[in-house]
Amino acid sequence: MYLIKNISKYNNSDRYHNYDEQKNRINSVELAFVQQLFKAKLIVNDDDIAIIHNAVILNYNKDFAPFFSYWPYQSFFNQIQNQFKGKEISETLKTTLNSIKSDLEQPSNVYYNKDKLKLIEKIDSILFQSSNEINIVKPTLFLGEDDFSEFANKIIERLNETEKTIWYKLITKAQKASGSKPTNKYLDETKLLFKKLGADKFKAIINEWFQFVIKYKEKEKTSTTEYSGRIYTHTYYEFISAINIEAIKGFVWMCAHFHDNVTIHNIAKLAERCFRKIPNVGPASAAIGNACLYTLYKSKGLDGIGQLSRLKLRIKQSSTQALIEKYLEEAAKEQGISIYEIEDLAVDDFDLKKGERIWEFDDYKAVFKITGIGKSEINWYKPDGSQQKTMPAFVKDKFSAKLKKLKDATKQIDQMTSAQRDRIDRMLRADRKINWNNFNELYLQHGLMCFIAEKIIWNFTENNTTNTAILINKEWTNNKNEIIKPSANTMVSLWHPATASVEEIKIWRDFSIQQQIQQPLKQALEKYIY
Amino acid sequence: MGIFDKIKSTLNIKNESEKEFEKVVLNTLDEFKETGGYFYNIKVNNLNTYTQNVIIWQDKKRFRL
Repeated sequence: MYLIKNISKYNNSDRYHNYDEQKNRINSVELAFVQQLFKAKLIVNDDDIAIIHNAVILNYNKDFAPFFSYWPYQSFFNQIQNQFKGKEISETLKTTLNSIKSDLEQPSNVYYNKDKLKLIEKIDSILFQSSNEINIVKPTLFLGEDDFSEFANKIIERLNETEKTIWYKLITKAQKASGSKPTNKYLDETKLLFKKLGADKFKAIINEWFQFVIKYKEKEKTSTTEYSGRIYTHTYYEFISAINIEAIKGFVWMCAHFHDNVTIHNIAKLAERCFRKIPNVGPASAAIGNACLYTLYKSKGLDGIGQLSRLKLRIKQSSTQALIEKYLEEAAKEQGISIYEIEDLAVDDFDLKKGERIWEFDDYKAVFKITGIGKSEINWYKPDGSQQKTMPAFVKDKFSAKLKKLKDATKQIDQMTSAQRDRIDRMLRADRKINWNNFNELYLQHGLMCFIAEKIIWNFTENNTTNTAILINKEWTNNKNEIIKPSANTMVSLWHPATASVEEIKIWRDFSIQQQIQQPLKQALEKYIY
Repeated sequence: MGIFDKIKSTLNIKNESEKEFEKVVLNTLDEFKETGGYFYNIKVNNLNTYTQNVIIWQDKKRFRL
């Protein structure tokens, strides 16, 4: 109380005009003491709680940040919660807590909404615990005042009571997602919870939420605050409220246990959305974006790593690129291979064979085919083998889920061909050399990579001799139309006009025109050679 | 005694304990100066005044502080 009195007195004094270094330092020590006293165990009675809050409110300078932001209210409530856990609380304390709640609910700058809502939730939780059995779960929904809460809470409210209870627990856990990485304890505890629910049910709902965020466009909002008797209005962009960002981050972390295509793809899209910049603000939500990168790195299998490799080219912020690079390096270290090899291994082939895949719908067939970088087509065939111009009508009704998968795969493959083309383009800078066996397996025999690799000019080096060739009629052919036969000792690297002579570039240019080769990369027809 | 009287009395008491509290704060300040730390980020739980003195006080006394 002594400290609260002194700090309040100092804050209400004319400290800016009559600045005193010693007084300012004493004030800092006093504030540090208050924070520490609330952090350490301190037994307080009902009256003490009321006295502390009233002392704060009565002496508080309203021109400061809101009282709950200045004073360590979070620690204060933690004390109360620990002290009264499993015990019934008195009417006096209930009145005090409700009075604090009503003080918290007073309008304040939108910047403090997250802290405010967290504290209100804490009070509700203390009041709920005291009037209910310890094993009864408090209904917890998304707290933020935004469109996401409205969307996500409606989904929860539609569920049965058993499922709702598990979601309440999951949301409570998610709302505590702080820091840059989840702890193992957090991941284990949440895994137990969603296992109770069923991983598929869990994924279905969170993927719906992720989709909502991916498609959501930030909104322009206006906030009004009062300072020194004047009303100030300012406009700002809100993507998702700060408190929901924390909760979504928690749910993204929980996905580190999964490696299915849909979830991984959604998390990668979510990362892309969250790193997209809002004018005058910066990335829409770096916190969710970073959580996505972590989850992609930690997810089982190599699909997540494949998406990280793609995001490295899509996200421009240097700090984010450094983070992706760090995760890729760590993943490579764990596997005992280089960062480039892990990127090679992580490319999903989407079950393609030579750039094609057949999807069956009863006796009808949909033949998916890559036609270019970022381009593909689907042709429909009747049971008799003849082509049908449009999709058969029954497919939409009878195979809606399968059709959705086909459409999703199409989008993902289109994105992936562009990303992989760009990755190959970076090989020159990285001075990447691949041995023939790996090149054959990870590029030429790969359902998706073969489409790109077969149209690129490569250097084949063996015994200090380098031959440059492209695949023509299934044979590696140099620009003099001679066949090259690589062996297990051959090292393959990207041929690039930047390292070739003008003469050689001209020959390749003429050769590619003559052979009518449409290259995914500007090699032979690179503009700057003219 | 009503709650406001309690607050009033708590805030207006000028006694020995206040002098002791003042001394604790000043000692902590001196101790902290010696660490060379920044004043915007003081952690009293690393300082002797707190760990050897304040922490062993009874709850009531710490509440008064």
